[in-house]
Amino acid sequence: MNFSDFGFWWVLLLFSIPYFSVRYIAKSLNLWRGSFDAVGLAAMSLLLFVNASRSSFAIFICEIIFNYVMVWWMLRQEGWKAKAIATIVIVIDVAILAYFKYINFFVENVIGMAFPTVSKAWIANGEAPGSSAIPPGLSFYTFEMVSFVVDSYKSRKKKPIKALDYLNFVSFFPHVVAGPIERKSSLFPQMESFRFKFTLENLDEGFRWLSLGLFMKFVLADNITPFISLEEFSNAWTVWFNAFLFTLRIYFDFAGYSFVALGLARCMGVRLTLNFVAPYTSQSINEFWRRWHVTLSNWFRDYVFLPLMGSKNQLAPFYLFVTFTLSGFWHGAAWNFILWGAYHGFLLLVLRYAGRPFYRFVGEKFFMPQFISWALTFTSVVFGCLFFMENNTERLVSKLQTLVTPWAYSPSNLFNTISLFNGNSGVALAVTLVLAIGFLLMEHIAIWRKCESEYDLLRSPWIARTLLALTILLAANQPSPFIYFEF
Amino acid sequence: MHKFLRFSSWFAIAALAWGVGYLYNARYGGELSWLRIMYEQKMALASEVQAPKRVLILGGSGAHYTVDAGLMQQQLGIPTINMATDGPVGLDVILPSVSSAIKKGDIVVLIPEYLILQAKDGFGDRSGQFGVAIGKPGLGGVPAKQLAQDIMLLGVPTLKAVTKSSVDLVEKGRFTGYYSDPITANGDPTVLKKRLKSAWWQLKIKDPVSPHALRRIRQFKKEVEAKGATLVLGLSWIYASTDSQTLGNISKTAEKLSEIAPVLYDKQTLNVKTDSSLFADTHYHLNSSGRRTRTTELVEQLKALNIIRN
Repeated sequence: MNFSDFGFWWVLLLFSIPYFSVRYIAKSLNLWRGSFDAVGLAAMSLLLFVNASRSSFAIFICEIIFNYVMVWWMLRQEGWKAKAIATIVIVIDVAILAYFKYINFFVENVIGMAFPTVSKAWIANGEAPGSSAIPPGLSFYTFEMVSFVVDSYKSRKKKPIKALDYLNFVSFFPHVVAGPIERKSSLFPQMESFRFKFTLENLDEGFRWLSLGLFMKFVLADNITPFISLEEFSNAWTVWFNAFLFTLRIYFDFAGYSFVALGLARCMGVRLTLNFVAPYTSQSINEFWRRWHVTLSNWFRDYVFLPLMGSKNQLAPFYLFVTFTLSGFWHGAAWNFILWGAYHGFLLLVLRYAGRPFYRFVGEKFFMPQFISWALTFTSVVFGCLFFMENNTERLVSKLQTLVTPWAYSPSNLFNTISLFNGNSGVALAVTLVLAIGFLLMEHIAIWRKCESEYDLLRSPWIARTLLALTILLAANQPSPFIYFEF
Repeated sequence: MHKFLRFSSWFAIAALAWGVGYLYNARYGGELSWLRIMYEQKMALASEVQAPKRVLILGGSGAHYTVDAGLMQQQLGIPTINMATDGPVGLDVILPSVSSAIKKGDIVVLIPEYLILQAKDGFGDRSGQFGVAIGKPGLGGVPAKQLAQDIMLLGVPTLKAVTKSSVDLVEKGRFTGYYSDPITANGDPTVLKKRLKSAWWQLKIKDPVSPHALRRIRQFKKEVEAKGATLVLGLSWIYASTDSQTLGNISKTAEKLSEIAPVLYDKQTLNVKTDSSLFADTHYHLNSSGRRTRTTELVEQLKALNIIRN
């Protein structure tokens, strides 16, 4: 669901007012049955999905029916038959995703390398039907459906699943379009016994996550976005600064989305998995991936890395690299995403082999080794964002050349970079950066103070309320699209 | 009870922040507030100027910064008031917002920008918020969804605007905006903006007047005539390309508008200007000499219609 789109909140409101009025009256007359809540949730989710994208909704419904029927059948089979059904479902799910996401890239870039005429003819005849833009949410619900099949296949107790519960598990509106990617064990039991639980505790907790997410998205990400430029490639300072801005934006944008999803779910009494855990406080790239897009990292670990590696533990580094490259490819059918994934895979390998001696060295030679580790990790992430943000391969190469050219760091280039941001827009950017850095500092302080969660300070009663007030006062009036909707 | 009170603080804080935002946006400081103030001043002028015959100029900023109502008053010898406001308010809101100012004997000259004429629904970015700011929510029939969104955003000043206002406060000691300069007794602007940042380029008119705009202007004509006033339409002067598409669309617009009411324009040039030195900051806003020339031309065109007799 697009939380930036007023249409989402409008439809939610238009559905909620009559539905909860009827529910309230029926409850007071003792006519309401608990299961009606699950029906209401399904109706709400499907209505919001139709409103978001009709074409994607059609694919979504077909996939839900197919997956449910196949899982239902699989749970009644044993041995190779169950395995065969699970395999078929996974292959078809992934094939649908691959078709919409990768068919053009595959023909134009992979086949095109060997047979340029095929690629040219493909482009000339127009792209494959429906593949010009990925249907909203396809990646996320496909991953969720695949994990559900695998978890159901592996579960010891082959308990039958109800269609309505499955529908609510996959289509639960706060997370269906951009995650968190929920697992059967965490979300399905909540859907099996779903009831709207609008308690004061749930609402208060939900509002805290909502205010955090809305502030991250509408104040931080959306006010940073207009300043990010991909054009400049000859000034090293500008290249770094744009990568830094993008690094901030992508976190505030996506984590903001996840926290709004978490907050909405919590208001209804549902607990979603925390998808971001202050990733920019990480002191190693390993730690970064435990904190960044947690549910996706876990998904790749459990459904790609571990099955690929099998019992060949000695080849773990190789499969780790392959998994990260695949994860990069999941982010987009373009070379820059593959490079981004490979770059992070490479960093993990460097850490694996050189990490300990390096930490020992830093610990002995420097006063604040943690700060050095954090700075190196954050710089590595910023550098990685260059690959992520730049899908023009030629320009990406030029930027990389600039970054390794010493005279591209000249004082005049620095002055040019600073002078790009003057007048009111410069002040607006400075204010946004102060807010953003203050926000990140609060995460660090929470860790230094050993709080229960990295967001404890930001979610504390009065800071959360202040964030809500600041969101109302400082939100950008032109929200930028959520980055992860493209994936 | 304690929990309930604590939870209520969310709404109290949200309402307080929204209220502060509303005061800034609609009452004092934000761009909308300057537009509202200008509109209210113009309405007050219209109510003060009582004469059996008046000329009221209507439209968006393209009319506000184009017609010199003071000069027109001198040349025509009858009271003339520049009632034009802002294009993004949209035709469907601009027209009813001034209808109460129109009275018997008035000559209403509507000169809408092409942005307004091409709109498919008669609403612009400021339609809903303008109605709320002037105390008439939903004015012009703004759809419920858009109105709800506009009302919500009316309490959101935005970081960009707050920053600009803060800088203004430090540098000038007061808030300013595009429409914050005083207006004359005829409703004309007293300060003309200059184009400083970007170079001039010739505008292209890609579509003719929309069926919706035609319907709404036709309806407006009935409303004006019901009050005993006369409606006259005008085409904007614009710095534009003279390509066949642009000229064709303007020609078609003039033709369609002339089926409703007399249209003031130069049939040779279609009011397309190729000299950017006549213009101030946008393709519609004229500088001082441009305004004088334009006004004199309008006066001649009005006189040629034979509807103005002293």
